[in-house]
Amino acid sequence: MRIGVDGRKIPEAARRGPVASLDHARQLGMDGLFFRTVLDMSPTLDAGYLAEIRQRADALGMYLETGLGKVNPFSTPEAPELRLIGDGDIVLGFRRMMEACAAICCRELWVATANYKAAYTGRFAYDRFRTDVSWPEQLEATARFLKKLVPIARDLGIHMNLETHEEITSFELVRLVETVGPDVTGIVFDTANVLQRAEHPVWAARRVAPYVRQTHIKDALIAREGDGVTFQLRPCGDGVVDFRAILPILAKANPTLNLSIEPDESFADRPRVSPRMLIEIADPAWLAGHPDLTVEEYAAYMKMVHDYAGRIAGGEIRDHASYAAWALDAFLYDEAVLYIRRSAEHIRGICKDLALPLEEIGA
Amino acid sequence: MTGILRGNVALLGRSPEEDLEQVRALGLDGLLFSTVLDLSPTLDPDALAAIKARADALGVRLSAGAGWINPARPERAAEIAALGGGDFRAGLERLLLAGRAIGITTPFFYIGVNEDRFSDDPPWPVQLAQTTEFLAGLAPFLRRHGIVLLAKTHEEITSFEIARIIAAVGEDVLGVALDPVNFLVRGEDPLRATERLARHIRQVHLDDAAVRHAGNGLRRVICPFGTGVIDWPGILALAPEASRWIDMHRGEFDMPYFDAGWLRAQPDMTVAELAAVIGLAARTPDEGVHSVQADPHTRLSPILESLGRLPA
Repeated sequence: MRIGVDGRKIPEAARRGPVASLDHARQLGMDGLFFRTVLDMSPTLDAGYLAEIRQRADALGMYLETGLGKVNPFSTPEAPELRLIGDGDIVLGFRRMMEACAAICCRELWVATANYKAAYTGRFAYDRFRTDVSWPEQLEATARFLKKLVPIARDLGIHMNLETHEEITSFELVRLVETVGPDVTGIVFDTANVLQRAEHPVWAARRVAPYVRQTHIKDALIAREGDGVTFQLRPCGDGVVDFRAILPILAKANPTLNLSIEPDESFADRPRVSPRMLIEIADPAWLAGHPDLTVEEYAAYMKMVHDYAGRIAGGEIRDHASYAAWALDAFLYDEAVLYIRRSAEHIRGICKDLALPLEEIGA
Repeated sequence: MTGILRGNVALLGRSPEEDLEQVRALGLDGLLFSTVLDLSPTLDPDALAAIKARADALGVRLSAGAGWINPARPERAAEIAALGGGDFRAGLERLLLAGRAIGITTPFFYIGVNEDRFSDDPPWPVQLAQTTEFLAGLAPFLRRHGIVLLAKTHEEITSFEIARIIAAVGEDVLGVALDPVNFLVRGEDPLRATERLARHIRQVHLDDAAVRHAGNGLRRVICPFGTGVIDWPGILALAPEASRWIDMHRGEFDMPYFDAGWLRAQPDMTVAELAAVIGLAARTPDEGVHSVQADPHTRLSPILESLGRLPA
């Protein structure tokens, strides 16, 4: 396993561009970059430029991971570049992206099912609660679209790895992989997103482990608010995610897995009003939308929230409001770098403690 | 009709007759004895008739319990077994007939206590099966005498389990004494649990409770009527015909749902219901509700004042 960072969210990614971001990541002690779509690296799929990125990664001894885009036909209209790159034919667009990725030896490719809707607070931020098309219909359409891509993936030796994105459960992902075929699909395990589906990250890790081929290593605060809970990104180790329990599960299933830290973006890179992320875990409509959730896991989740509340009450962890206020002013380049370094230290420390197969450049 | 449980209010007098006067003085019109034996330990027909006559003269309805029915716990039924010369069923039938003679046709009973659910002697499902079997055997007697036994929704039992017992034994001879604060102890939402039992409810026990995050999960906190989370208008609307009895609880119970063993002992629990009960904790201010479990007397005034505001 190697520790790297998200290629889109590493500070100054847009300003520096992919090649310089590789150098930047290396300066920060990272051993790889994960650009979630190949179009992030080259919006025109410029083969020469993509090869240059690959060469730079190789020269630095870093891993390079990337991906494709949304594969839910009800979400792809929100990403018109996917159709554009196929000159109007989205399947052709995916073929071109997949060929471009294979050409630079990237064959583990991120895909995802929807976009988080930051304009809304509560369940409508998640497309599983769309009222025009049900979530099961979206899942079926996703499986059908993935099946259209299967021959291309098989031909190129590619896995299309579905992320445990905010809107989807690990139960559904495992079923999708098993429906479309584990020879051409896999899972990008985002360690914190599952919290938004009331899944305990350790329980989710056990479910997805056999299929995890890429990761977003991420941590978050979860705190009670009314009868729901709020979600807020935190450096690894400062949130609720128990990496000490999760990393051995992942390492056992896939000892060469790359651990890509997905940091919070600096406010210098992306000025914004941080959305209030509310998970309505006691709302009957929300619960009705989670038929796979069990009493046991729900209870384990609430215990995790309870234990974490103790860390907040004890002063070890900053609460939601004060962290949000601090971040708005302070979370610029230096703090964003610190966030990555702290996260990496936490992950590295656990790997060393538990003697997990961690490779490090120069180590 | 609104009455009060005799046993838990020490303000009331000592003899049944004095208690009847006290009930009237409180503006109530019913007195509920924990057991018929509290009216007369020997079930003396003359003594019972005298109390009944006094109650009638005052316009106070009498009712009473039939004690514990659980073949695995004979020690709790020793008094009743003695009435039957060592035969519990014979003793129980004597007690029920003595009550029947003074108009007590819907006596309530308990099946167990919280610890019974987690006991291996025998396991709770076996206790439920044995109790169901006993009640099924008693059903013809009950039917013959027009008696309907009311299973109290006590802290150890769920609404699902009571519904199954009634389905097995017969809804013409078994009903429900609904005590909603106890559903919380089993992680059941009081309103939903009431919905599950609604058509069987003959008697309702009035009290209030809140839920707090505490210990290894949640804690039920008994509180002054009107300050807790029990949806009384909603519950009473589901059982408009049921008699109402003030019953101020003392038991302190935790719901340690972080404990996998505790959860395994709740096989009927759903995520939706657990979530609803956890959600009730969000409606309980940390400081606003003060626990009065140890001192039920301070709760009498709030509940008496609230009665007029409850739906008819």
